[in-house]
Amino acid sequence: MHDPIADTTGTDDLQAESNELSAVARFARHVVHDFNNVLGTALGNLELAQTTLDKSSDSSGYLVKVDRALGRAAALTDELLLFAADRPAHPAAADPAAFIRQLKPKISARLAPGIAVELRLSGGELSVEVDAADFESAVLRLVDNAGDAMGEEGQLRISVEKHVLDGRDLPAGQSLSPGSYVVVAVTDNGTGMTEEIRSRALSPFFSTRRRSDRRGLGLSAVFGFAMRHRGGVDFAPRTGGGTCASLYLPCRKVEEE
Amino acid sequence: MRQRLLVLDDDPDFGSFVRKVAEDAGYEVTVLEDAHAFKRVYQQFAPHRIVLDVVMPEIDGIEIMKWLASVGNTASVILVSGYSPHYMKAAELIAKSGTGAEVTVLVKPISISDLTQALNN
Repeated sequence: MHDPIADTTGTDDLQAESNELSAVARFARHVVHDFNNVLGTALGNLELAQTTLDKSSDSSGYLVKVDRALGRAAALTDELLLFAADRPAHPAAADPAAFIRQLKPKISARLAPGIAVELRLSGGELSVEVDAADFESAVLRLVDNAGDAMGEEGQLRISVEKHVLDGRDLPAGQSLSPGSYVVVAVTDNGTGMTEEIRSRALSPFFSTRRRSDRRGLGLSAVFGFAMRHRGGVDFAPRTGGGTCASLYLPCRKVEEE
Repeated sequence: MRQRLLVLDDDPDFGSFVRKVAEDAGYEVTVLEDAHAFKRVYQQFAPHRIVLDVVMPEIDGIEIMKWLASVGNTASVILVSGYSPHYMKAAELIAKSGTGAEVTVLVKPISISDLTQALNN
């Protein structure tokens, strides 16, 4: 796994990017709040109108189209919250190694048949406090990103292990406090990220993908997940080609005591 | 006797949506846009249930929740908001720590069925 502690390349750039994304997330939360208020009024009254109209009328057909359009707007605010929400919706204790092991079928199903999946899960007992659905979404987005970089063939490795960071060796560009972390690292042997792509990888709606079904918030949702769980996310080149994406999550305190 | 519902939301068009759904559910409904009138109307109307927008321009919804707790409110409260987890959580805690009144949280947009279900619970 990439050692973020030893790599200080681009520290200032990454920190600036992280600070900027945090500011964008605050802005996005305000937008989501105001926008949902507008959608609440529009969709509520639209639904009332639809209950009073003959479903075969032209007007009813037009309102169906309005409903679809507003539904897409509502889905967009939901998507924005994957990036911008500032706290987990349903935090609960989880064993990250067991979580990844259970997730393996979903991980394999998202990748081309020619990609081998290897799990390296720490033997010791680890515990994190996460929103499970949010955690799954974050890991699968990292997997999607790795899969796109590999195409039809390759090797994907997911490791889970504990890192203890003190005040002197905090990873580059991260807003992490000293302490114990679980690191979920997703490593591929694909095309790798250029420095430019790496610096923009967490920006909302940034994508190098051709597949339209995977555009959207992409890795910025992983950043949002990490921030609201007081963690971090880091990308580093893999020796020999490819990328190692590391997701840092604080160890649950009970585990440290 | 019909159940009484007091609605406070600064958007009158959302308030009218809640009124229509609540009246169809059998409620006698009063809708307020002005938060300053809330305390007076609350005492006169004696609602069984309250729909409250947590974030409004002039009065913090949390202030209203604190006031409701201070007067021993027993009406169940449905908190609505676009997205304000801090406010929602704070208001929910205040409501629950006060009088034991039931609190439901709904995030806009809200469908007729979701609102009806919350009103019927």
